[in-house]
Amino acid sequence: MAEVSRREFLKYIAALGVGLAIGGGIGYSARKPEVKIVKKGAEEVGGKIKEKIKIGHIAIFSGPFSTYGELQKRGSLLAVEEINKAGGIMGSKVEIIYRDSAAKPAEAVKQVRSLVESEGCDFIIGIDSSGVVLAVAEVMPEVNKLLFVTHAATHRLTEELVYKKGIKQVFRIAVPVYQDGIMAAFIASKLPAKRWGCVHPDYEYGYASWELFKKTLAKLRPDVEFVGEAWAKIGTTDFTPLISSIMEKKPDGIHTVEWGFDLFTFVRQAKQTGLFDAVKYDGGYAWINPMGYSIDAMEALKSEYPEGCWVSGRYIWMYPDTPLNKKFVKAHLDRWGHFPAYSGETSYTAVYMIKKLIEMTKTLDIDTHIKTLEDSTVYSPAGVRFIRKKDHQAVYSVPYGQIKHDPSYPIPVLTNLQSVPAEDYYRHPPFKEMPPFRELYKKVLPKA
Amino acid sequence: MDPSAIIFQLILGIASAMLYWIVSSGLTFTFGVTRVLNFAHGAFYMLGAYFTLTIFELTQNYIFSLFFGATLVALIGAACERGLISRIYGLPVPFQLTLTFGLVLVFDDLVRIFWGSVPKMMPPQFVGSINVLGRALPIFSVYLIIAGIAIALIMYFLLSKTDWGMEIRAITVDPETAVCSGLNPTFLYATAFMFGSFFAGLGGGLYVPISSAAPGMGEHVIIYAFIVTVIGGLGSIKGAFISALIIGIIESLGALFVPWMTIALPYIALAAVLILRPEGIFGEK
Amino acid sequence: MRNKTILAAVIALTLLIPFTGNKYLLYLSIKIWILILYAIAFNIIFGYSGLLSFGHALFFSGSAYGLAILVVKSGLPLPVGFIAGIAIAAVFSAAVGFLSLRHKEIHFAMITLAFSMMFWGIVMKWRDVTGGEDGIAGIPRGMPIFWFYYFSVAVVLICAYIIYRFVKSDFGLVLEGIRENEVRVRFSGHSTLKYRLYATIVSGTFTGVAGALWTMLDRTVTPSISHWSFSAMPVIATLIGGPQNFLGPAIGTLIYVIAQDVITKYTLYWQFILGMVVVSVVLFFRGGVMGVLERLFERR
Repeated sequence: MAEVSRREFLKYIAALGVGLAIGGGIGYSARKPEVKIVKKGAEEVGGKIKEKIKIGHIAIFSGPFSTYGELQKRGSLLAVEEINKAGGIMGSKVEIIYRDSAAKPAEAVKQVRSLVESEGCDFIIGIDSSGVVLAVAEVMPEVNKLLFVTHAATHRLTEELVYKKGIKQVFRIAVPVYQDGIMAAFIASKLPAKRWGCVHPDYEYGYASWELFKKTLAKLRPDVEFVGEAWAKIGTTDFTPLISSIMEKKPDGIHTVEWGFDLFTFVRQAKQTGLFDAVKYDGGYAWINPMGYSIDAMEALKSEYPEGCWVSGRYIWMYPDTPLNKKFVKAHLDRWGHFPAYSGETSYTAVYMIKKLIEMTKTLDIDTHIKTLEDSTVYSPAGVRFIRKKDHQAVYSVPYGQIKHDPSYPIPVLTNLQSVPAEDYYRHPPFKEMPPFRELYKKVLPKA
Repeated sequence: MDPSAIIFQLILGIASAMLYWIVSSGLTFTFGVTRVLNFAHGAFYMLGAYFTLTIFELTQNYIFSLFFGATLVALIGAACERGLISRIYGLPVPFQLTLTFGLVLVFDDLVRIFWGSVPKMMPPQFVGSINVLGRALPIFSVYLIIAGIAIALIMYFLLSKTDWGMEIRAITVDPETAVCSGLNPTFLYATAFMFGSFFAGLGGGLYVPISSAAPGMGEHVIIYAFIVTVIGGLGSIKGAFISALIIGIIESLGALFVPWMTIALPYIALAAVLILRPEGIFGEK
Repeated sequence: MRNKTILAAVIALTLLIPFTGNKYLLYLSIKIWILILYAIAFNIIFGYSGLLSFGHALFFSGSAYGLAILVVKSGLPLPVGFIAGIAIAAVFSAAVGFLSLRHKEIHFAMITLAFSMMFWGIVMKWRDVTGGEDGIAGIPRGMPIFWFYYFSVAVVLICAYIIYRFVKSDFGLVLEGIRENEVRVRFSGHSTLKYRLYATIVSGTFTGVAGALWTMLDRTVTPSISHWSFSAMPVIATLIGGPQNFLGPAIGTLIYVIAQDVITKYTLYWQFILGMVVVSVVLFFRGGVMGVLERLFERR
C-alpha cells in the first residue's frame, strides 16, 4: 500500500464528512414530514400522561353556514385518526368531540363549559364567527383551558382580548382580517384601478375589512379614490339593486369580502349585471375577494368564477410547495375526496400542535403550555408559523392569486401567486400604527 | 343623481319584489282560506329549490324541473295539511306558529341529511343581459318580472273565473254558510294549502338558478313573506302584490340613497303601516 | 297546599347545586333560572292576557345593552347599570304597549316583531356604541359565580312572587277576562286598553330584570339576544309547560333547556329532534305539561 500523506488522509476524512453530511441532510429531509413545534430549550419526552386526551371542537353545524363546521371537521378528524393510528399522544388515545355553535355566542359559551366541565375536555379548538369568538374568549380564563382559534377573523380577538386584556389562554392559528383588508390593499396597489368600490356583508367583518383596506391603500397609492360602498345583509337574495347602485359610481376596482353561499349568489348576479366587465384590465379583473378561494366557493362556482380575479384564503392548498403540505393535501383528498379548506388546515394543525405540545412538555399544565407556545415556530402545511408572544397570533404569509380554470383539476386553481412577508401586513403590538410597514411593498411585489 | 339611474334602480326593485310576491302569495292565500299562518312556508320554499335542482340534474330541463319540483312541494304541503295542520284549525295563533316552526326545524335537518350541509348550485339559466337606459339589465330580472305578473294573472283567473275559485272565496268569507250550502271544507282547505305550498316551492325553484340551495335558506325569506303579507293585509292577494312592490322598491332605492339603513327598512315600513293602518293596506278590520 | 310544599322542596334542593362542585351544572342552572323569569314575565301578556308577543327580545336586550353600555363604556357602577337597564326595559315596554294598544292577535305579534327588529338593526349598525355584531364584552359580574347563583335565585324568586300576586289579583282577573271576552269586560266599565298597557309594562319590565341578570352571567352582550328568534324561546317554553298555569312557563323552560342540552350532546341533528318534540307537544299536549298533570290529578 502506498504511503498516504497526512494531507491526503485529511482530504479523505473531509470528503467522508461532507458526504455524510450531504447524505444525512438528504436523508433528514426525506424522512416523513410532519407538523412540529420548534422552541429553544424545549425537547420531546416520552411517557403517558392521561388515559385519554380529549379535544372539544366547536364550529357551525346548523343553519345556512353549516358547511363551515363540516370543513373544519374534515381537518381535525383526519389529524385525530392519523395520530391514533400512530399510537396516540405518548400512548394516550385522542378523542375529539364536536359541538354546534349555531353561530350564536351564548350557545358556543355554553358548549365550552359543557365540553370542559361536563366532558372533561383538555383543549378547545374551532370557532367560525367573529361575534362568537369574542364571547368564547372571555370565558376561557374561567374554565382555564387553551383555545386554538381556527377560523374567526376579527382582529379584536388578539389585539384587544389577548394583548390588551391579557387573556393568555387564547391562541389563533388562522390569519385574521389583515389578510382580507391589508394584504388585499397590497394587491390592489399593484393594479391599474384608481376608483375602488366595495360590496360587503353588512356586519363587523365587512366594516373592519373595508376600513383596513382603505387605510392601507390610501397610503400605498395616494392617487386612488374610494367611490362607493354597498352593504348586503346576510341572506340577500337579490344583489342586483346593490350592484347597480355601486356601478352608478363607475368603479374600476371592486373589493368584496362576501363569503359562503351569499358569495355564490353575488358572483352569479355580478356576472349578469356586468360588474366584472366594469373592472376588467389587461391582466385580468381588478376584483379582490379575500375569501374567494374558500373550498366551498370553488366547488360550488367552479368555472363560473371568472379567470383573472384575485382571490385568497387563510390557506391555499397549493402553497407552499413543501413535502408536509403535499402529504397533508393527499391525505385529505384520500380521506374525504375534497381538497382541504383553509379551516380544515388550521384545524389539522391545531390538533397536531396539541400533540407536540404535550410531547414536548410532558404535562397538561396550562402555564407551561402557554410559555412553550409563545415565541415558538410551528412547521405546518400552510408553511412556517411564528406564534407571537404578545398577542398569541400565528404569523404566516398566505398569497393571493388569480383564478385559473384548469381542466386537470375539479376546481379552479390559482396562478400568479403574490406573496408579501407576513411582518409587512400583520399589525404589530402595540397596534397603534397602520400598515404598510417598512415601505417594503415596493421591493416585494412585481408588476401584476 | 341621474334620473335614468333611479328608473333603472326602480326596475331592479320590481324584479326583487316579484320574488317576495311569489312567496308571499302562497302564504297570504293559505291564511285567507284556512286562517292558519304557516311558518313552514319558508321550508317549502327551500324544498322547492332543492327539488328543482335535483330534478334538473336528471332531466336537464329547467322549466319542467321548476313545475315538477313545485308540484312535489304541493304534495308535501297537502300531506302536512291532512296529517298535522288540520288538527289545529281554530286554535289560537301561537299554536299554529309553534307547530309550523317545529316543522321548519324538522325540514331543515331532513334537507341536511339528504343533500348535505354544503350549499348546492345548478347551472345558471336565462343568462345574459339586455341594454336598458345604458345599463345591463339581467335577463333573469326580466324573467322574474314576467313570472310575477303571470302568477298574479293566473291567481286572478283561478279565483274569479273557476268554480273552485268561487268555492274558495265563499268558504273564506263565510265558512258556516258555505258548508251549509254543501261545499266540502276538507277538500277546499286541502287544495288551498296545496295551492299555497305550490307557490312557495315555485319561488324556491325560481330563485335557485341565480343563487344556491342551502339548509335554512327559508329563514331569511319567511320573515319577508310575513312582513309583506301583513302590510298588504292578511288574506289579501292584491295586498300582497302591492306591498311586495313597495318593499322591493323601498329596498332598491334605499340601496342607492341610504345604504347604511337598508337593514332596517322593511321593519320600519312594517311598523309604520301597523301604526297607521293596523289591518294592512287591503286587510279587513 | 300539597303543591306548595312540593315546590318549596324542589327550590330548596336547587339551592344545593353550588355545593356539588360541578361548574357546568351551576352555570346551566343560573341560565335556567334567568330564562324561567323571562318566560314567566312573558306569560303575563301571553297566557293571562291572551296576546302573542314576538318582540320580548326588545325588552330583554334593551336592558342587557343598557347595562353593558353604561357600565363598560360609561364606567358607571354595576348596581346603577342594573337598575338603569331595568328602567330602560320599562320605558321600552311602555312605548310599545302604547303604540300597539289597538292591535290584536297576529297584528300585535307583528308590531312587536317590527319594533324588536328595528332595535336589532340599530344594535347591529351603531357599532361605536353597541359594538355592532361583536357586541360588548367584559361586563363585570360583581361577585364570584357561587354567590351569583344565590343572587339570581333570590331576584328571580322575588320577581316571580310579585308577578304571582299581580296575576292573582283583581287586576289579573280582569286581564283573564279580557282574554276570554273583551267586549263583555268593556261593557262592565273597564278600560281594556289601560289594562293591556299596564300588563305590557309589567311584563316588559320583569323581562328586563332577566336581561340584566343574563348580561352579568355571560358578561357579554351580542345582537343575537335582540333577534326575533330569541323572542321565540319563551313562546315554545310556555307552550311546552302550559300557558294557563303560573308555573307552566317555568316547567317548560326547564324541559326545553335540559332537552336541548342533552340532545346536542348526542347528535348534531338536534333541530330534527327538537322539531318533532315541538310538533308533538302542540298536537297532543295542548295544555302543556301542566295541563297533563292537572288532568291527571283531576281524575283522582
